[in-house]
Amino acid sequence: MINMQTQITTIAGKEVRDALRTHLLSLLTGFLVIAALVSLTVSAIALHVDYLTYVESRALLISLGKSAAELAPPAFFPLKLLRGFVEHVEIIGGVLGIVLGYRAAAVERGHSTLALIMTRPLTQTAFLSGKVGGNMMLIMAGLATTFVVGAIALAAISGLGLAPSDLARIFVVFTAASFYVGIFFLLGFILALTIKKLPTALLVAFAIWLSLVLIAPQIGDTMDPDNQVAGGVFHALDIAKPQQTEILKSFKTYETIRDGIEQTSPAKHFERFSFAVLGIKDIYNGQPLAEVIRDRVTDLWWLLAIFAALVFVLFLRPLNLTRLTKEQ
Amino acid sequence: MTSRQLTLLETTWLSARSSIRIGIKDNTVVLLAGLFFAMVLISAYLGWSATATVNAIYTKALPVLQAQGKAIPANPVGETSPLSLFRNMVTYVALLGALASLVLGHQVVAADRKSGVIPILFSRPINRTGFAIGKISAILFAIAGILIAAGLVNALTMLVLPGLSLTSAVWIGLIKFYAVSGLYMVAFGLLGAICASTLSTESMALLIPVTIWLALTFIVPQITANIGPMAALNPQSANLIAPTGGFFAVTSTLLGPFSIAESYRYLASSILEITSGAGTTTTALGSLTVLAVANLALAGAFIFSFKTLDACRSDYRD
Repeated sequence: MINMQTQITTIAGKEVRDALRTHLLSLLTGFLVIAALVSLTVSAIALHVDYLTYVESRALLISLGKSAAELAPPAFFPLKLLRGFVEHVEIIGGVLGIVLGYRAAAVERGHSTLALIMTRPLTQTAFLSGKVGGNMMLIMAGLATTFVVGAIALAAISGLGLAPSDLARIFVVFTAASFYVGIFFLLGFILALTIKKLPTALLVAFAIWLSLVLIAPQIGDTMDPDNQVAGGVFHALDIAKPQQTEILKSFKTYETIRDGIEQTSPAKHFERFSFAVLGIKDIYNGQPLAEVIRDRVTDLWWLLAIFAALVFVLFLRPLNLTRLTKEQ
Repeated sequence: MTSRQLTLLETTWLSARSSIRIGIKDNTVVLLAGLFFAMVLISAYLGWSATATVNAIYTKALPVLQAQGKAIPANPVGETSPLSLFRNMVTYVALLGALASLVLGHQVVAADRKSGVIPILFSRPINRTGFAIGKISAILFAIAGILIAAGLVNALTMLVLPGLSLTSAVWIGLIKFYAVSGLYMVAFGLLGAICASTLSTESMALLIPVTIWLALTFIVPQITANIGPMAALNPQSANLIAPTGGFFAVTSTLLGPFSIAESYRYLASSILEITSGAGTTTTALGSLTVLAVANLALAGAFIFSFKTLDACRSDYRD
C-alpha cells in the first residue's frame, strides 16, 4: 500500500495538472496581472500629472514674483503606487480562490470520480490534504507571478530600483495574500463539496465574496462621518485635526459599530495589514518593517484564524459521497 | 389534425411566461434578489444613520467654531436632497443588482439548455426571434419587479422620516433613479443571457460575465478617471475629477463609450444629487446614450446568439 505522503503528493500533482489544463488559473492570473499593471501604470501617470501641475504652479508663482517655498512638491514613495495593486488582489484574488476551490470539487463531482477514489485505500484526510496542498501551490504560483511582474513594473516605472527592504515588504504582503486567497479557495471548495447543485455552490460563494469583500468594507467606509459630505464633513466645517478627534470621542459607539462591520471582512484585514507594511498608510510610512508587523499583527492573526477555521470545517466534516455526484 | 404555427407575439408571450417561472423557482436568483432587497433596507437605514451623525457632528462643532471666532457655516445636512439618503443604493445596484441580473439572465437560458428542451423546441415551427424576445421580456419584467419593490421601500422610508421636504421633484427623481438602475441591471441580465447561450460550459458561462463585470466596475474607471478599485464603491467617487493630461483625455475618449459602470454612477449620483457634476466632462445625455446603446447592442447580440444556438449541442459540457 502506498504511504500517505505519496498519496497526498500524487493528488496534489494531479490538481496542478488539471488546473493548468482547464486554463482557469491562467485566465484569472492573467486578468489579475493585467489589472495590477493597469493600476500601477495609471497611479504612476497620475503622480506624473501631479508633478507637472506642481512644476507649472511653481513656475507661475515665480513669474509673478511670489515665493514658491510653501508649495510642497508631490511626495514620491514607490511602494505607495501599489495601493490599487493591493485592492485588485483583494477583489480578483478572492474570485481566483473561489474558482479554484469550485473547480477542485467540481472536477471530481462532474466525472463522478469522487466515490471511486474513496473506494481505494485512501483516507479522507489524505484526499483533502492533496487537494488543499495542490491548490495552495497553484494560488502561490499565480500570486507569485503577479507580485514578481508588479515588482518589476514598479522598479521600471519608478526608475529607482527596489531596495532589499522594499522587496522584503512585498514578500510579506505576498505571504498575507496567499492566506487571504486561500480563505476564498477553502470557501469555494467547502461549498462545492456541500451544496447539491454545483452552479448554486459557485453563486453562493460569489454572494459571500461580494458581502465580505465589497459590501462590508463599503458599509464601514460610507458610515465614516467624514465620507458623508463631498470633501469631508470636517473640511466643510473647517475643523482642525485635534478638534476632530475631540468631537469624534462622542461617537465612540458609532465608531465601534462601524469598525465591527469592517472587522467581519477578511479583505479589510488584508488591506489594513498590506497598506501598513507597504507604507501606503501615512503613519506607517518609513517605519521599520518589524515594528509595522508588530503593530498590525492582529490583522494577520485574523487572516490565519479564518483560514484555520475553514481548514477545521473541511477536514472534520465527513464527505457525503452519495450526494456528491454530478449535479442533480 | 395539424398544429397551428404560433405568431411572433404568442411565442414571445409563452417564452416570457416560462422564463419568469424559471426565475421565480430558481433558488439562486431568489437568494441574490433577497440579498439585494436586504441591502435596500440597510441602505435606507445607513442613509438615515449617516445623516443623523453628520447632523450631530455639526451640533458638536458649533461651540468649537464659536470659541475659535470662526464664521458658522451652513449645516451640510440642510444642503443635501432627501434623495441623497439613498446614496448607497448606487453601490448596491452596481454590485448586487448587476450580479443578480447576471444570474437571472444566465438562468433563463441555462435552464432550457440543461433541461434538454431546446432540441424539442427548435424542431417545431417556432419563431426563434420571438422566443428570444420573450426571454428579454422576462429579464425586463423580473428586474422591473425587484426595482419597483425597492422603490416602494425607499418611498416608505422618506414618508416615515421626519423633517424631509418631499416635493414632486423628489418623487420624480426617485422614479428616474430606478429607471436608470433598471437600464444598468438589464444590460447585465442580457450579458448573462448571451454568455449562457453562447458558451459550451456552464462554469465559463458564469465566470466570463463575472470577469467582464469586474473589469467594467473596477478596472475601466481606473484607466479613464484614476478611480481606484475600492474608491469606485463609494458613491462620492462621482465627485472625483479625472486628472488632466493627455493620457486620461485619450483613455476617457476611447473607453468612455464602453464604461457603463461610470455612466451609471454619474447618472445615478446626479439624480440623487450626490454630485453636482462640476468639473466632469461627462453629461447626463452622454451617459444615458451609453446605457441605452449598450442595452440595444446587447439585446441584438442575445437574439443573434439564441437564434444561432446549435440545438444538437445545446446541453452544457460540464
